[in-house]
Amino acid sequence: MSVFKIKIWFTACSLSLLLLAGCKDEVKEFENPYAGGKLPLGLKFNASSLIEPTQGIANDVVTVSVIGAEQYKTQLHFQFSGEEAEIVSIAGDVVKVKVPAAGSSGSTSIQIGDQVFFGPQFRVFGKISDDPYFKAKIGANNTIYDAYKLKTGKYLMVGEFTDFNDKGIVLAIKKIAESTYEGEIQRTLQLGTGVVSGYLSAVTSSTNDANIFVAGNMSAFDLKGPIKNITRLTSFGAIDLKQVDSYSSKNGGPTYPKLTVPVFNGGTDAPIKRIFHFNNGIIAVGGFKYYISHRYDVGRTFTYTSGNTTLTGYRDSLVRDSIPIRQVVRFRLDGSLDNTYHFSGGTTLDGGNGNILDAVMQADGKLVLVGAFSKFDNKAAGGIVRLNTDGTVDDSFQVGNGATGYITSINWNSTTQRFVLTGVFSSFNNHSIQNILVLKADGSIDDAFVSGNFDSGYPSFAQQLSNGLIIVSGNFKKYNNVRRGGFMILSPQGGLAQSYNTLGELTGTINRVLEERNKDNKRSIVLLGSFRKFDSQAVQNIKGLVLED
Amino acid sequence: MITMNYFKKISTPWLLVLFSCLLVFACKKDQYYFDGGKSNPIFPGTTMEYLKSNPRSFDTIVNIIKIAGMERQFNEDTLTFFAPQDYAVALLIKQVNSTLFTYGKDTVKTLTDIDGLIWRRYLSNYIFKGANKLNDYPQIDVGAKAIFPGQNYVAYSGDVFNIGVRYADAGGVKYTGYRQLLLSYIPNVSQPLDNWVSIPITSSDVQPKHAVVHVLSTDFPFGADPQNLIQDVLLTK
Repeated sequence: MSVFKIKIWFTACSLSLLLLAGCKDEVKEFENPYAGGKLPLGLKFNASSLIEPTQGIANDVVTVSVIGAEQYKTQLHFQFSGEEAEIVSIAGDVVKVKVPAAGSSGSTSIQIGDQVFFGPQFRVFGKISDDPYFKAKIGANNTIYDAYKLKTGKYLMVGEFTDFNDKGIVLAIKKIAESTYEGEIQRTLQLGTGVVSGYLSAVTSSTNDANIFVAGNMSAFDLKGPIKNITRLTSFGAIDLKQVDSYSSKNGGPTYPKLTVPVFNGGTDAPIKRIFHFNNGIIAVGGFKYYISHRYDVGRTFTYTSGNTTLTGYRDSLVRDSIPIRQVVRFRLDGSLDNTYHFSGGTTLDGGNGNILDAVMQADGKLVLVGAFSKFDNKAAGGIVRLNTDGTVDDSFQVGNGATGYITSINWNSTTQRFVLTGVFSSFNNHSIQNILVLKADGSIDDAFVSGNFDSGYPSFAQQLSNGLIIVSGNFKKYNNVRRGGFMILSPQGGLAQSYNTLGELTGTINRVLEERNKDNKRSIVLLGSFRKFDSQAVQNIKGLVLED
Repeated sequence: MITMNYFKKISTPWLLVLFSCLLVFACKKDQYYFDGGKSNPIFPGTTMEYLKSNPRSFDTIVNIIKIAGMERQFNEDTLTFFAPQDYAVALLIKQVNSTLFTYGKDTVKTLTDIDGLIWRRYLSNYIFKGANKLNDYPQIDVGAKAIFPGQNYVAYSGDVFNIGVRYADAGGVKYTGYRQLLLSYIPNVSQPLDNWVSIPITSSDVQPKHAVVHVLSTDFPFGADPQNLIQDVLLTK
């Protein structure tokens, strides 16, 4: 054996030794860290036989199949959308329950101790239901802020949407749509591309719809400008334009064309929230601080040489004039500033010390503003103030100290002659009133309405219908300890209106309620706002309903 | 041959030294790993005492419990507490103050600037009856709620929460990995599967006397439903 072979043997032996004796890992058995635990209750809604019937009215007896129900006979609570229901009988897996009077459409559930089991959806019928004639089933693809009824009977709806009922594929519908009450898109107005960038929050018209006015946050309408948040349309719906001489066309002769600019030469430095027409003027409300108008006749003359000849050229400058104003402004119909409204001695009055969140105008031209301010024009004002037709504070409005908190919305009903206000406040004019109240035309509290108790949230919108019922929306979950999620209808006395509160929850907010009679001559309402889900159905920002009397 | 020359060059003693080195050091590769053993989940004291013993995470929560007047519950009740950490309160206060500022109200400087009743209402969102550990809760898969639904519970506050154990995947095999508790706020009981706000638990099964504490992740503001809390605060200002 050569030395070499010995070495090979030696190496092989050592390596096998290493392999055998080397790294013998200790094998440990770990206990299962997740073993044990409490057993589940063994209760389950039977997925193969659901609720029977799947819809009904209050006090109907409904049969549900629940596996394992019998063993919890004494502990079992049954609920419709969180409202306790009376259990008629439990036999085997068959549970019979009575639809509660305050029940609304939504999920059924069983509660045992602190454990909750959700079951199938149940629809409760009442005096409120979908309007069969309503056509805007798809709806608007973004928020609708306001709607205005023209004398043709059609509505102009404005908001942040860029399509309405999928009709924008044919011709653009951007931020403004002409629609019938039933939600059918009309094309009689020449709105063009509307507002491409920005949004519209308000719309109104002058006497006899001679002009339509739109406002919001925009710099152009139908791609034409310049606009600062408000402009005027013709009665045909097209932006009202005129030709003006610019510096260059005035001085340079026919080679320089005239400028085509909006007739309405006025605007604001920040978005406008509401506009109202009264007595040949447009009163705008918003968070702005300056009135802005355009001057087109400013420019400069310059000379240049071409070969041996010296030529004269003209260049235009767009000049923006700004005048301080605060939160409220009155435009004349051509956009010029009315410096007699909310002005004193040539300067603007101070306005509120907080945001204005909503405003309504009475038929007599007086303007009621609500919001998060405690002072208006240096006078104490608890989130609400009324202005005279010259913009000064109306001291005859009997709101006293107003709200301790802030007011988010106000609506006026001319039939009932009542304001309805919502907000986050705990008292109003030293009366303990929470979150919603009704005022008479003179600003005094309507004692007939007694506000209830909101739980987990607050109302953000309320509007009274001409029959006295009040539509309320917000992010609340309970009212007077009855489960109402985001939407409810109150009686003029402030209680939940009997059998009008059967619809399911609303996810979102309502900005406006339209009220008319439908083809069956039934009272019908259209809800406009920002919501994606209502009554367990996917909807988009508009919904038509019928109210039975 | 290259191989032969190679082996010839290395002498036997050298090989011996090499192999002995291998033998001596081969199985020491685990030296850096120290098995700390299982941590002791039992805390010899009440829930309140446990929270006090960990001021780094819970001293604000302890103050809130005192302001809410709920010390008795945390000392005596048999409960499961999903403990939000201090940072969750900081997140909430930031939101509260920006809202208060918007509406021109005085901002919150100390915890007592917010009413005790409000603290009580929203702290109660995290308290459940009975002492339940991770393995007492069923499996939840938020992507397949129909199959693994977890279990819904009514908190002390009356709001409904889903509590379940999320089974993580391991090596691409579903549900075989670690398990983590998940507390989900159900905003709308008439649409109980929609819009959950799910907060994972960072440590579970802390067991003080007659209670179980699960510590919540810090990424969510205190209250489970902070928007309503903020509006409640606004109302009192």
